[in-house]
Amino acid sequence: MITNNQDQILQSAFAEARQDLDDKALTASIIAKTRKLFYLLAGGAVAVAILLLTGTWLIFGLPLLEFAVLISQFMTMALFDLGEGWLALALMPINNIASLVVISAKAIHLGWKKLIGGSFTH
Amino acid sequence: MQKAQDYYPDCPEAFLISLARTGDRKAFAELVQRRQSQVRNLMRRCCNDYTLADDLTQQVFLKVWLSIRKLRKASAFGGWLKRVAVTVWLQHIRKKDALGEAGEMSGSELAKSDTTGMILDLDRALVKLPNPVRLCVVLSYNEGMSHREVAELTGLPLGTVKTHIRNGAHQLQELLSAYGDPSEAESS
Repeated sequence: MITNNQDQILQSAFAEARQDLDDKALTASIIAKTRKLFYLLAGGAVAVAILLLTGTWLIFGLPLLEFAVLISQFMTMALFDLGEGWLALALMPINNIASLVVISAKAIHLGWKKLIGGSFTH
Repeated sequence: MQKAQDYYPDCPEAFLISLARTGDRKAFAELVQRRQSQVRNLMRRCCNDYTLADDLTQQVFLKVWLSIRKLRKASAFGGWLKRVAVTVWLQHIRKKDALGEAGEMSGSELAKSDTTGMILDLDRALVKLPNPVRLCVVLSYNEGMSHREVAELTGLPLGTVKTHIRNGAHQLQELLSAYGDPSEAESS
């Protein structure tokens, strides 16, 4: 059984053993390690990102390219069949689905601006 | 012209913690400088190997650096640091157990010129205690923690902690007297 006196002896032994262990070199070493850790983590993150992008490209790259080709073919489809004469050539820039989409978008945008502008006039 | 960092040694700890949370390494260095003695003392009492104690101290502060953003209250830093230190120590013990080196606390790096006889006696006595008992005794006597706090920190049941501390203190008392503890002369 430990007596109070013995307990005090232990407490004083621990108190005596507690040293002031300030060491600037240890602090510098820890800070240098935090820097290394940062570079290691950043390097790891970049490597993982590159791997993910490469993997994504390998898996989805070809289907995405095919989709883009399909979209571009669809967008350049003529709205009206004007034959192969000079009129067809002259109207080619606007005689397609893409121009229809652009003109519609612009019209919606203008209409929306008018609507919003009108609601703030009074 | 003086930089803001030049004032860090005079800054309150809570302010340094806030700065360290934002990634300020200089503020963190000041925190390490202020707290390293406490952690090194704790580790020295736990492992009885000064080189290992310094390695573990570095691990503790690296863990602190990595997760200081998770610390919600700056006032809880002291307790949190102790928790990290104990976790690092327990992980080290588990790793040793896994390698089949349990109980191999040789204390080869113990004899240092700046170490007094009393510290040597205490560390030699401590190393003879089983790991969980030593941890409980160190947290109780070295860190001044209550039994309940030790139980919370180590995850051991309160009853086990009380038994460990009682048995550990008893063994330590016997071992210290066997070493010719200088404090014995004081008490007699």
